[in-house]
Amino acid sequence: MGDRLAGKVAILAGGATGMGRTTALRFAQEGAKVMIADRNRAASDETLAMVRDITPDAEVVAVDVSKWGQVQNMVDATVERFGRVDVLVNLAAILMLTPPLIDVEERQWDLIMDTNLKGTFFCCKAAIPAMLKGGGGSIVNISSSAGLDAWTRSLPYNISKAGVIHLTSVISGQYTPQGIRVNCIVPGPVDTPQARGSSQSADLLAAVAAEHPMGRIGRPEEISNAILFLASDEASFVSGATYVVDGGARTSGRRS
Amino acid sequence: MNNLTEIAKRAVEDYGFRQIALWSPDDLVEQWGLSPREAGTLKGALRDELERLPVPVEPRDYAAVTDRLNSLISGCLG
Repeated sequence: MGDRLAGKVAILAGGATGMGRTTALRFAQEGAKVMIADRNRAASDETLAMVRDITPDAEVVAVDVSKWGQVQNMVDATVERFGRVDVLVNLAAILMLTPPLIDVEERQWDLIMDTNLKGTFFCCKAAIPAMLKGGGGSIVNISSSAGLDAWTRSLPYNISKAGVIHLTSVISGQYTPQGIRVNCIVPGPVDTPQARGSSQSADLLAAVAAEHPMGRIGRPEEISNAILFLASDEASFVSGATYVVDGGARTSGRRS
Repeated sequence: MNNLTEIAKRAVEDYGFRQIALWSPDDLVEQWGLSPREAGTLKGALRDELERLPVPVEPRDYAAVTDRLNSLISGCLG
């Protein structure tokens, strides 16, 4: 147990599984009060039970981040339960595989963009007023290496994650002067249900790991540690930054 | 029934699409113009089956799993 987030109230949008779950646990270990916000209610409840083994200061709220009313309710429920919002982590995302551009369906584009980019926009839009009331805060947006590199298996996913990086920069420019730090993490391949699902085969995921310069893909808790730093006051002079956390994959030229 | 079988096929082969089918089925009902009966099947019997699928479904299993879901859909819609 530590105190790096002692007393801080954190909303984890997409907090039920994968990096969201490990971040909820890591935050709780460091003294945060945690709101697990996700549309997967069963997994949210599982994560809640794990977090409550650490602290009683945890709750769940059902939210589809692509729906404004539900996002506003997520923030309202957090303020009602814990009194304030200090930290928002935007982890909610979907990765649907699509064919090359001319065969991408409008509905595929909409589903991905609505969750990954509009959802991040909605969560920031709803949380920032609550943070301002409390005198400031920290937002950590989760992008992907696909937001920097041309990964060809899902054009809408690439564009949505590139948008998250730029959204981070613009929001930082607008709200850092008011005490809200806004940063972005760009994870490389990480062992999450999403990664396993999008690999479409255990063999393919193993091949990605074998080609990585570290000989493995990332663990979700390794991303959570970076999120923790940016969320905490240790990053008090960090805003508008994009942190690549990929085990050196990009610099080795192995960007899968 | 074609729309629903296509949704089932995509949900088997693409975990991201499956997440939408499981947790935001109303988005698919609207996008795909599903009938009330199709929507009920998507949110009921089909959802239960999708929830039990492994992540990922291996490509060698696509045909067998899809056939099973198509039989389920046929049974629900008659």
